[in-house]
Amino acid sequence: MSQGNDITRREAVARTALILGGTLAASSLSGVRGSAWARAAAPDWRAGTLDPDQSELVATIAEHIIPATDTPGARAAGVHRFVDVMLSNYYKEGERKQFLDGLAQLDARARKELGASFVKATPAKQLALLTAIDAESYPSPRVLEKAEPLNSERARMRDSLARQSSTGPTVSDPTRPSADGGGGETARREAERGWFFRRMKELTLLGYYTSEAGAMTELKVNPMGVYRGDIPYRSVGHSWA
Amino acid sequence: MTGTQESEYDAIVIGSGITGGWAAKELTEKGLRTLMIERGREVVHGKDYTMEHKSTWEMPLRNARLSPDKQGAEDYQVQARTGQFRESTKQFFTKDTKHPYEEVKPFTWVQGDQVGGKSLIWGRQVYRWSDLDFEANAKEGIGVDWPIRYKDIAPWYSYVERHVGVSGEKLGLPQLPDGEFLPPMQMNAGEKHVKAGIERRFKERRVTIGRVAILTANHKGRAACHYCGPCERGCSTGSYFSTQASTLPPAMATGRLTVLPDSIVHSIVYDPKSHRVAGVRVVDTRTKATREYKAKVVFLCASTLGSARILLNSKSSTFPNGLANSSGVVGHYLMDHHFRAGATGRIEGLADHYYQGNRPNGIYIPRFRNLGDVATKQPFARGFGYQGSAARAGWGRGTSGPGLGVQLKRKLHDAGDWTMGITGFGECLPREDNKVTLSERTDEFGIPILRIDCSWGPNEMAMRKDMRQSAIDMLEAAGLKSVVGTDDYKEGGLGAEPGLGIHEMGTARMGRDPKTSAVNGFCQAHDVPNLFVTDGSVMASASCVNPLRGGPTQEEEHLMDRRDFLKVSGAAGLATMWGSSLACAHSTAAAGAANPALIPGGFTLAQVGLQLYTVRDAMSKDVDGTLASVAGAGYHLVETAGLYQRPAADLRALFDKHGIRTVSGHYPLVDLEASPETVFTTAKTLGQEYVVVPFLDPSLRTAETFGSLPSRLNKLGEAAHGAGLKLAYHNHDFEFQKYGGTTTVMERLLANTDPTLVSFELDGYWAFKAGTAPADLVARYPGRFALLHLKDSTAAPEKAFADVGHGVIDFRRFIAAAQRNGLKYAFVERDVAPDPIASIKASHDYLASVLPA
Repeated sequence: MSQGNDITRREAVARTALILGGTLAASSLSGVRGSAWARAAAPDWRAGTLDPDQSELVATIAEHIIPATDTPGARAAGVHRFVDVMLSNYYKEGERKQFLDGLAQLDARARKELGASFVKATPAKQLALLTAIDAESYPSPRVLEKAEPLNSERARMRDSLARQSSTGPTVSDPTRPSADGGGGETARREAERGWFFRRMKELTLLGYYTSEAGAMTELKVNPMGVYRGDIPYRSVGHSWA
Repeated sequence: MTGTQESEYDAIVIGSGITGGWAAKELTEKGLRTLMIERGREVVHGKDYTMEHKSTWEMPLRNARLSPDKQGAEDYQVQARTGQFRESTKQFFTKDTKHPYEEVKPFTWVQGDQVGGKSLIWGRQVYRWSDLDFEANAKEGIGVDWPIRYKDIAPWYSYVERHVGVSGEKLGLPQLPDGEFLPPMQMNAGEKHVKAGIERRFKERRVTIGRVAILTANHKGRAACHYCGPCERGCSTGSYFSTQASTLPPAMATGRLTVLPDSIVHSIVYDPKSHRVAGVRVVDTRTKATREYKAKVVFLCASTLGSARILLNSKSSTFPNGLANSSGVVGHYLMDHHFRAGATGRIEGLADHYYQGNRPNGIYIPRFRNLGDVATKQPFARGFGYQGSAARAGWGRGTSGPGLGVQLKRKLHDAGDWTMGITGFGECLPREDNKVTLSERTDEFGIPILRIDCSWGPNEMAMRKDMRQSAIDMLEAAGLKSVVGTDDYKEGGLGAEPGLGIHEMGTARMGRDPKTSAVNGFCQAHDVPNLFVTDGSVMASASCVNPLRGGPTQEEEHLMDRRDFLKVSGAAGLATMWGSSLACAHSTAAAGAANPALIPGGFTLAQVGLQLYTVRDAMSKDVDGTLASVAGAGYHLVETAGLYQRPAADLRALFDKHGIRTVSGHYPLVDLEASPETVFTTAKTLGQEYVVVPFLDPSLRTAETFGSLPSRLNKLGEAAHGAGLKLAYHNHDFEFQKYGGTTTVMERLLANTDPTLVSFELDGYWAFKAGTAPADLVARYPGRFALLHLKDSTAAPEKAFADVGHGVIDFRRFIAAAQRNGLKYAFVERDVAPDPIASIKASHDYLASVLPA
């Protein structure tokens, strides 16, 4: 067993402060940018699942969910490309098809209600439609819980959050596969209606806040180095990514 | 890893996880040429932690949890049931298609498949058992009585904790004995709030920070935790205990360990003529070729289920039901901890509190049920403790309801509510019908797979109700809102089934009676004297605390002391084990406790050696004869000072011939700086761990030298570290002068060298001569003095040399202080002696009277 790869704590902290630290000079990021984010932003990037129209549709919806403000929005963070990666390399056929169907239905609804495909509609109309869909997509938590028993993106993020905020023992792993068939047929149908938009929002938040833009510009990754268990929230002023 | 594999060894260790690593360390340090066999791939410390410190955006799936219904989990349908199976950790879990098993009822068997085993991905929580645990079976008439008690194992807990490095808070509770702790980690504001509320309402309950095998201070060449968070991706600073970080380096440093990865043990070979095991049969997992390795003793550390499988598959005419299984208990009494029953709630009033850093730990609430008094008595047997943590919600809460756009983004910019969750970890009773057997099916290596038949019983289910309700009661008592109780158990389904706790225990249980147990109180098979099972399979009960503990075996100690394998049968061992706070007696430690004359602590005579400078004249004339005298005087450990014009390999051969090993050597600074590689090669050829800068010529003792020396030592230390060695500096009296500085050279060297790179060898005599009590110095700089030189001083004003114990230095205080502060080895030295051999004998005799053997 070679010990030649040991690094000291000081080196480790120095090395990774570049990646995770709260205060970064732009130049010190250049080494990091060579990686996945750069690839996702590269002009020769190619989708695995989404065709160009679908990709544009996803990017447009995502940007409405997390728009650019004084910090980048979902499009600049490459959320549509992340969604494509998840559709291609994470979800299996069933969920992938359900998601693409949902995209198509949203576009069909846009044509019907806005008189144009979603991406061709004005931003104001797009937002109005999404706001309506958003409001329809969240039945009571009880119904949701029954219909999507803990195997959803939402629960996965709850788990992810617990781990990121405090990697101590988790109380329960809410993302385990469940043998529970879920609640009754009514609840299932009620929940089914909003499935696509909930999933779309989950993927948008996940893709955005785990991107370099979301995790380092909009928020900050909780830095390594020391642990301080009780500091004034004011001294941080934002949520850790 | 190491050179070509021979086919005969002194010892074979099967498995390289927590207990295999410990066995390898202890055996090799005691002089045994050891083969460690691992079915999985090689994982090199540092280099192979490929996901360490990766940012989420560097991972295509952003570190997604890979549940069974997702791509990438196809070959991992069992491992994927756990929340730990993610994009960043997948590489450290076994493929279930490669190592399948059958479940009669749901049982989630989480398996590692690499050198280091699950020590790379374990939860790192470590708690001592108490006599509440060791006496439970006997008092309640359940299972078999443990053949050991807390007092037997307590010294070994200390031994292991001192090596591992465990952080935690002392509580003084009888049911959860305190250990030798590094400083505790901090609780966050939410946890402190809940702690105050619970302890105010329930006087007998305590909330403490988890006791974890994670360093909160630099420790034995390993760096303190840097709070990056996900330990389970691997830690190149070695800040949590793993085989790679903690037990493998010292084992490798002996030069006696061979690691054999990609090799699965088919069976252990029994020789009916000698009534002993002769070796093991191994299948190369890449070529499927079969090969046998022989050894004089075999340590089985393949995990509770893995070890049971090997024993059951090692059939012979003597043992038709499996090796060491005349009792028929092998495979039975399988246990795990049951958990995922508890509560969560929202904490109010802490909006201006937050935390920084990623603490890989949570809180712990020690057992408060069935402590032996009327007040804590319950309708179920045994008890449970809780783990948990508090945190503020982050951006994930944005998915729980409607909302989008700038408003959503603004909201998620802020931290959300504080929430606290706790889950019980409950004890499971040993039941004969919870068992594993061999299936008719074999794996791709031709080895029958396991059929696991295990379920929770009525006692566990009754306990779970209380685990849930007590959690609700405590969180409500602490003033939390929206408190919700949880219990993930589902009848006949997945959720909180056995195995998920990943604390399997009990398939080769320990006991006094060979008719009802597989191994004795020293983990030695009742049926086979040279077979030791030192993993969780020997547990006779489960306790409720996270079960890790390793320790050397008395068996190993005997091998070291006598180098006499024929007497293995008389030996008794202290187990090295996963799944166990196993208590085992150790004769020398027991003697230490019983004899107040002995210096307290775990430092033993076996760690005392001789600095060969003492016998330099004799060595220069006759190495072979002098080494015989050195061994005759009782020394089996030496520190070198020169090679006597011999190649290092020749000198090593002579050491070996006399049963002497060398762990340290003195090498002049000028040589080290001129050609470090040459020195390192020599040291490694000799099997040394330490290269020591011994002396500075008077011409070099200038302000300039002492100004540059710390950085030069750091540089050398880094190079030594890179070569798998450690650097130390040995003092005389001149370092206690100031040479133009405001503090002494010694203080400047200690302050300005990196503790992870430079150790010190304190020569107590020279410190004493310079007017400094050596015991005070080691206490003032904990962790810095891994090595000592022992020689005494006369009372005369000139402070002449004297044999150890024959002068005025208080060695009891000196050694006791040093061993509390990281002492590894001590070397007797007398620079000038009229009769060196008589002198070293006199020193050894004194030390033998104050140190355990």
